[in-house]
Amino acid sequence: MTSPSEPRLAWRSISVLLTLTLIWCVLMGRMIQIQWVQRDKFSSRATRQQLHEEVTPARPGDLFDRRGRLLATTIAVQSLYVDPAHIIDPLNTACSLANATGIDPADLQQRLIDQREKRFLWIKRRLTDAEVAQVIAANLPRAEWGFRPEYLRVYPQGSLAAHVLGWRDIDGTPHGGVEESLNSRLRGEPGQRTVVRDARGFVIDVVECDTIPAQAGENIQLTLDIMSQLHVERRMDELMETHKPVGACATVLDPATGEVLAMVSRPAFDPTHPETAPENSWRNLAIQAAYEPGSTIKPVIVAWGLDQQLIQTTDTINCERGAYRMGPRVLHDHHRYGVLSLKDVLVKSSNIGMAKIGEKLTNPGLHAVMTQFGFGHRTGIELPGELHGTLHPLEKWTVYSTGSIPMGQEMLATPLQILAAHAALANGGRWVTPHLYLGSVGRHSIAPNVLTTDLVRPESTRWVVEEAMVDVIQRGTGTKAKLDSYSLFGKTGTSQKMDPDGRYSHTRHISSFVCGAPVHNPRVVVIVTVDEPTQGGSDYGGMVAAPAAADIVDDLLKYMQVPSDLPTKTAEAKPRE
Amino acid sequence: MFFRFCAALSLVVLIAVVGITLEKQLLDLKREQTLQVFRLEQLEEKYARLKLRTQELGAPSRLLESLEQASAERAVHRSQATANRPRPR
Repeated sequence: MTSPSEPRLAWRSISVLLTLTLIWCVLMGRMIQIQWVQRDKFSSRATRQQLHEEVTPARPGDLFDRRGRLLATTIAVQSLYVDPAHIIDPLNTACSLANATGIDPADLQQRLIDQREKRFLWIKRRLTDAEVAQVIAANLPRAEWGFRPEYLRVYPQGSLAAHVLGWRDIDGTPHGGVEESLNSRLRGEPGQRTVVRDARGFVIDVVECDTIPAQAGENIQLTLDIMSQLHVERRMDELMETHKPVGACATVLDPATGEVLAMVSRPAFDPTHPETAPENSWRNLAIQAAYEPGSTIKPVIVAWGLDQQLIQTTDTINCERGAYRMGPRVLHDHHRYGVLSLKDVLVKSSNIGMAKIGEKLTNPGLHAVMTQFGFGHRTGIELPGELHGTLHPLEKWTVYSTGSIPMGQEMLATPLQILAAHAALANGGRWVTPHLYLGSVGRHSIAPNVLTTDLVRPESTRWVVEEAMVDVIQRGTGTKAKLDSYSLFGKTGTSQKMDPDGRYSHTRHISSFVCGAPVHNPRVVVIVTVDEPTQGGSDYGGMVAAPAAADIVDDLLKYMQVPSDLPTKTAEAKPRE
Repeated sequence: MFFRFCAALSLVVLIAVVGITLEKQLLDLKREQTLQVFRLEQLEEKYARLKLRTQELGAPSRLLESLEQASAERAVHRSQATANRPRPR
């Protein structure tokens, strides 16, 4: 016998069963939809949410001088960012972070409020270790902020060789110097890695098979010698103090190899704090300032004339008592010279004598010597922004050029171009590319890109260097450069700057002096160029630049332990001024 | 029958346990590798900082300045000592 409630119970059971079946069917349907129909869509969304590809920056390579002293290196530092959208209490966050990092809390709070919809905001980059510790100690919610590691370029030698090294900005982008020119080798190759993040964004795993490690940049050794650089910088600072010029520069070269041992430009800047640099300090005057070389060009012309046998060492030249008409133009000398020997034309730096040599060489010959010695072309040194100077094409040369070029006018050259030409005279007539790159450290080193060209025979250059240019120091325009310990050869130069009306200025000059020592086996050649000296009495190259250049040669040769090539009694008899 | 079933089940369980153990070992090794890479990075960074510090301390400009300062001070002391020395009668 069945009770009346039994059919009701059976109906309830069926209802429950049907409901459960229906729910199960819905769930199954949804599961099929997710797992099968929309599998790709959800799968890619999950991957996108969980997997993140990160670029791992490469550590830029270090720079060393020729003796392995560190010039530039890289350290890792932390930069602080926040996620404004996750910040609940902007006032509290701003106060805590401002206290830790030393920035204005009101400004920070305003920034957090203004950019609250953003997901990333830099607070301060390149924090010190103390600031990092204080940020951690502030104990803010972890979702609000984070550190991102960045590389900071540091120059342990301070402002030494700043123009040669260049600098890197906050994003690691190089500006100037070898940092820019050798960046393709210094920067390294950034890596890549895929990380798995949880719902809060924290990394829970690294997908090792997808990881490409970053390749650190090459460590590069330069030809610079930081002790030589220091000597030159200190002497140039002294010169800047004494003569108060607009600018000045000095470069030291090994004439045999073309290696740049020191390169200084003033005013200078500190590559670690480029924001403090004066406006006119960015230019490296040794390669980025072109001026009329003046008399420093004369030995090059004479050496070429001797080599081509257009002039002889025994020649005499009538210097016309200080005035010589050359076509429509009258040339003048500083003194009224009569007949001078070829040597004395250089020693006394006679413009008329050089103009007459120019007549013998003719315009095509003069153009050839200038081109062969690299004027009008970049030297090829590994520095960005090198000027090529100005050497007009031969078609544009006139009768004026025959007189102007031999005295270093009507053309523009950088101090490095002039120095490279004199290095060719010093090493026996071989032009060598001046260069800064010596090799790589710790890897297969690539040889520096150096071109050598034989220009003139050693006999021609030997007479110019060992006879004429030595006498320039002994009894000519460069007597202020006499040294006690070393025999020196050199040539002074004083060129007039252009006034705004296009005429030569009588008050604004560029003084220069190029020299080398020891005479019979030159180890260094030096050029000092001073742009518009305003104090110190005179602005002649022999008075302003020559003493500085001689000091530099003396210091460097002693530092290089080059034995003195002068008898001791000379040193005792003639103390240097 | 029961024995065969148990043997098959045990085999499956054994294979699963071995698989899990290998997976755990692999994870441990991966963790160790990551840790070593991290330690290497830390050491490289430490090396870079120490190298920087030594080069800063041994920078020629810094050494030269301190040497010159010391010699200037010595010269001042020497001249003071000479001035204070009693003159022989």
